[in-house]
Amino acid sequence: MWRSMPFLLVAAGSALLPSAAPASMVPAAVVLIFIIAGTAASLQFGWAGLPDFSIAAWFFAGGWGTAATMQVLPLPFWACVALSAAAITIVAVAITSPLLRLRSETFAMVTLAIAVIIPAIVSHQTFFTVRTVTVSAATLAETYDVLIAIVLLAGALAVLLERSPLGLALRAGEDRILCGSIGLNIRRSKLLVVAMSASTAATAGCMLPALQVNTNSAFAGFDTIAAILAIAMIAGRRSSAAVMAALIIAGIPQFVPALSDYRLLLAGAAIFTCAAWRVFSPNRGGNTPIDSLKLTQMMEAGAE
Amino acid sequence: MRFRLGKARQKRMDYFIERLVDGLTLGVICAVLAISYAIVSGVRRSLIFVNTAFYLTAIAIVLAVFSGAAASGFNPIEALSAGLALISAFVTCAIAAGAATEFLPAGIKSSLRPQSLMISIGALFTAAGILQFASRLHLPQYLVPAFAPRVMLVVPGIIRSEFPSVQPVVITTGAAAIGAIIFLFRHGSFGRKQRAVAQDPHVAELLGINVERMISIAIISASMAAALSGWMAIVVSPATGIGDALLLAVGSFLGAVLGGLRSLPKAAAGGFAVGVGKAFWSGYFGPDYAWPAILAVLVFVLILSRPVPGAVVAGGEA
Repeated sequence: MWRSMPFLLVAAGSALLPSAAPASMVPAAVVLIFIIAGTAASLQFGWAGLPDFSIAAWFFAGGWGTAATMQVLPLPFWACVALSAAAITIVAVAITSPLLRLRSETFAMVTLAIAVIIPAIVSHQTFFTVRTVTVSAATLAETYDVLIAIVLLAGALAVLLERSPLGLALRAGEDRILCGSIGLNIRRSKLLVVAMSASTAATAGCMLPALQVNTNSAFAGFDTIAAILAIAMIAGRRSSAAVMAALIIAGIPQFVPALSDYRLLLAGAAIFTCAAWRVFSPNRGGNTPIDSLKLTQMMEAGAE
Repeated sequence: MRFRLGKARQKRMDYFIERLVDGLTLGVICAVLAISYAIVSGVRRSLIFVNTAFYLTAIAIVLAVFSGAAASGFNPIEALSAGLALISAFVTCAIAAGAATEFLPAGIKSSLRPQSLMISIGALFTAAGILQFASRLHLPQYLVPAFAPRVMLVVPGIIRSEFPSVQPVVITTGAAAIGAIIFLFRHGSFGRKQRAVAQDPHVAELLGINVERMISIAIISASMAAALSGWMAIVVSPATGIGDALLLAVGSFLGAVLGGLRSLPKAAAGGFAVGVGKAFWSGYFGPDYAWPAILAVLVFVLILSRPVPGAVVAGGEA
C-alpha cells in the first residue's frame, strides 16, 4: 500500500491544484506526463534491466502522431490518442524486439540513436507538416483529469508488476542458468515489459497536443531523453521513487523557468546523487537475489 | 598530348574529390573515437557512456577555449588557440578519467552492477549539460568555416578542388594518433600488459601485473583519444551541437562494434567506414537523413551479423 502512496498523493494534489492555482494547470500537466513516462521507463530499466533510451522517442512520437492523426482523420481527440498509442506500441515492439539480442551497452547505444534520430527526422521532414492542434478549454480540463487517472493506473501497473508472475520472472532473468533450469522464456517477458512501457510512454506523449504545444519540435531535444531516463534510473524497481524523481527533474524546470536551461545538469546531478547513495548503502536497492525454489513456489502461487 | 576532362565531368570529379576529403576527415574523427571505445570496452565495457561523456566534455572545453580566444581578439583558427584548446581538452579529460577511476571504485569499477551503468549515464547527461552550456557561448558567429583559409588541389585539366585548410591538418593529426595508439597498444611491455588485462584480468594479476593501474591507464588513454576526436570535430565543424555530437559518437561506437571491439585496427576501420559513408551520403543525397540512413544500415547489419543470444536477456553482460 505504501508503495502506491506517492501516486495517490500526487493524484490528490493534482486534483486540488486547478481550483487553487488555475494558471499552473499546464505545468502540472507536463509534470504528470513526465511521471507517467518516467514510470514506464522505470519498468524497463528497473525490472527488465534494459537501458532503453528509445522510450523518449515513443513519447515524442505519441504527441506528433496524435496531432498528425487529428489533422488527417476527422476523429475526436480521444480516438486519435488511442489510434496513435496503438500504432506506436506496435512500431516500438517491432523495432525493439530484434535489439534484445544485443549486449546491454550496444542495446543502450542503438536505442540512444533511435531516441535522437526519430525526433530529428520528424522535425526536419517537409513531406507532411503538422500544425499545432487547437483544443477547447474543456478538452484541456478533461485531459488533465485523464492524466491524473493515467498516473494512478501507471502506479497500479508498477505496483502490481512487483507481485505478479511476470515480475518474478523478470527478477529471475538476472540469472540465466536459473531461467534455463525452470524453463522460463525471459525474452518473451522482457518483450512484454517493452510493450507495456512503450504503450504507457506513447499514451503520455499523446496528451501533449492537448497542451497546445508544437509537436514538431517540443520535447524533441536531448533534455527530454535525459529527464525520462534519469527518472527511470533513480526509480529503479521502486516505482514510487519515480514520482519523487519526476517532481524534481520535470517539476523544477516547469515551475522555475530560470532553471529550465539546466535540465541536463539537473538530471546528471540527480543520477549521480542516487548512484552514490546506492553505492555507499548497497542494501538499499532491494534487488536481493532470488533462489530457484523460492521462485518456483512464488510462480506457482502466482499462477493459482 | 595533354589529357583533359570535359567541363561537366571535371565538375563531377571536383565534387567527388571534395567529398572524398570530407569523408577522410570525418572518417578519421570517427576512427579515433572508435579506437577509444575499443580501449575502454577492453577493460570496462560499462564505461562506454563515460567515454562518450569525455568526448562531449572535450567538445565543450574546445568551444569555451575558442570562444575565449575569439572574444580576446585572437583569430580562433590560429595554431595557438587550436593548440591551447587541444591541451585544455586533454588535461580536463585525463583529470576527469583519473578521478573517475580513483574516487568511484565501488560503482565504476564493477561492470556488472547497475550503479556502474547509472554513473556512466549520469556522466553522459552531465557532460551533455556542460556542452549545452558551452554551446550558448555563440562560438559559430566567431568561427564560421567560410572564413577559414582554403587550399586548392589542382591537376591541370582534371581536378580543381577547394577545401578548408583544417581538413588536411585533421586528417594528418588523426592518422598519426591512430598509428601511435595502435603501436603503443600492440608492441612493447605496455601493450603486452594491456592486452593481458583485457583478455583475463585474474591471470594478469597472478602474473604480477598491476591490473588496477593498467585499467586506469587504459581509461585515461581512451579519454584522451575521445578528447582528440572532440577537438577535431569542432575544428572541422564549429556548429556541432549535442545531437550531432551524440550521433557521431553512436555511429563511431556501432562502427567499432561491427569492425570488432577486440581489435584496435578493426575498430578504427569500422569507425572510419562510418565516417566516410556519412560524408558521401551527405554529399550526394543531402545531410538531413545521412545519420538515420547510416545508423539504420549499421543496426541492420549488427542484428543480422552478430546475434548474441541471451546477452541483454540474461541480465546485461555476456
